[in-house]
Amino acid sequence: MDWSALWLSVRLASATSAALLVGGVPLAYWIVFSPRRWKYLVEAIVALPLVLPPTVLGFYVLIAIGPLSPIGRAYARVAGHGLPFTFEGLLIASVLYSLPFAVQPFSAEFAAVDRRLLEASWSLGVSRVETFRRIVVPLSVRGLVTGIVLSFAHTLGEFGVVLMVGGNLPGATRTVSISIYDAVQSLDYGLASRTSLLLLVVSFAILTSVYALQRSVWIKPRL
Amino acid sequence: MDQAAAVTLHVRLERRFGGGFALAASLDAELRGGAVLVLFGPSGAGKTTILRQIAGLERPDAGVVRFGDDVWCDTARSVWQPPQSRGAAIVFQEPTLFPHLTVAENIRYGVPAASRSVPGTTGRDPAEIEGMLGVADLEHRYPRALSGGEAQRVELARALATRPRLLLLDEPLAALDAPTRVRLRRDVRSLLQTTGTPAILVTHDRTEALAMGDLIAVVIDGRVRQAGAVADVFTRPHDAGVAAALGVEAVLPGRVVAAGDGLVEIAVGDLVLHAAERESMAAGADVYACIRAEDVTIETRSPGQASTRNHLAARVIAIAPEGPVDRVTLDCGVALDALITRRSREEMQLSIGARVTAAVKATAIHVVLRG
Repeated sequence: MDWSALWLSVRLASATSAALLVGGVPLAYWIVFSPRRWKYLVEAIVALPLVLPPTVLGFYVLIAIGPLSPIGRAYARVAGHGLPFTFEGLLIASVLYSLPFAVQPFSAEFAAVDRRLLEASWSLGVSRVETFRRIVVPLSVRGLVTGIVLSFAHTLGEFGVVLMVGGNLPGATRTVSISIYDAVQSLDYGLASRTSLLLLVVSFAILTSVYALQRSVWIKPRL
Repeated sequence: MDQAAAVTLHVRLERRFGGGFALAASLDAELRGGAVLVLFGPSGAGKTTILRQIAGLERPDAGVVRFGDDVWCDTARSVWQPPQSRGAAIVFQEPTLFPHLTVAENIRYGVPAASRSVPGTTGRDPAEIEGMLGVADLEHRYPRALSGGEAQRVELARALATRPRLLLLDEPLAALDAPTRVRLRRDVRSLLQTTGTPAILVTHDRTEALAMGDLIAVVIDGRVRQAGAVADVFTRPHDAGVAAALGVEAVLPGRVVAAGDGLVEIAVGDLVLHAAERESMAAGADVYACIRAEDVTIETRSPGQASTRNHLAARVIAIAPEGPVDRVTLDCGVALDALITRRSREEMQLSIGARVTAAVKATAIHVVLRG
């Protein structure tokens, strides 16, 4: 078993989920509660990774963080090395790639909160941020957990984006899905089948828990 | 108990909606502590929209909302206060308790943490309000385990616990069954008076408007057509539209003199009216005696033995044809209208100035107890 690849995948997936929790929650809130008419544009952009081939997304990310782009140059000046073929570069790509898997469950759950609860809270003198923290978040626990778990699982299984942005550097960018591909390329079917089986079991377990959550097997909605 | 401190509410609102409905409401009212201003009108007239703009939950296209010295909204000067800084707590028709919080947590939700630790400083801490609304026993329950009436009591407690400067009530009792509604009406009214909180109540129920209102604004088609003291507006509607919205009925403010044996005696000015007692009321209670013009009969000779309990000496002061019938306005100490057929009027040879007797059955007098 390629443990270093597995460990890298887990680290990448955890970091991606954490980043999406921090960034995805405000984005989902904005999508649900903003009165702006053009927010459908943002919704479409968020959903793009669902339909775009990972290679296309990976290609653009590679260009965007590469030495030819202002972002890539600025990062290289600060960090002393470029973003492509590093863990950080991979993280940026993963966050974008898993964006809809976090933001869509978040916003679906936020939208399901009765708008009048928020209005009542505001009229009781509680700020919008506090209202979000004390009303929207507790009532959206299932959506938040679902989004985090789905983006974790999705990152664990990504392949094309990793290959485009990260390459295949052991310990830095060689994730578990790439190690399976490598094993098959070198005709090591035993290694490939063991890793594949592990990934299958883990993915199945994660999805089972998400669907159980949706059916309120553990968290009883107090409504 | 800040009864003396009256606050001026000044509202000018304009808003256009898709589908042609336009709101152009203008309203000025002096709100004493504990006073209730009723926004009354048919469904879809724009009452709730006016309330939501006062709350700051919706913005007008153009307009001004002033409460005392505070400008809550002034589109011409780009002034906008969000709902949080207005101190106007709203209670909706359907309960909006936070489902993941217990009753106690709901009631303390809007009370800032700092003031929660100094109970009783102004005599209005959450525990006292719970006591006044009778919800102290429910503290540990979750909203899903409450009846509709209990939920609305908790909702009111939650709003009052924040010590609002103004309470906004959007048909809060409309979804409740009749006995619960009647009980809550009285409790709300006395609670507002004890806490000295002025309130604006949206309703299309005239009994509720009479029972709870001190002031009334009649809203029809997005406009405030008439505003003033409840009895004044009910007895002297400006025009036919307002009269139709209020229902053609004399509303006479009075006081219960005696009650018992299924009958209530009500003093209205110098008159004493007898009405059927439909709910128990004690002597001294303030009431409105409501009498429909259809239920007033006119007699020219002194009657023999009849079941009608009220016979009032009256003078005819106006006669106006109203479709197939005539509306005869009588002065019997208070103004009272009678609707009679033209043939009756001709047979009795009624004319202005004629001395007659107005008869009203006790069961035709609808008594509304003021909270």
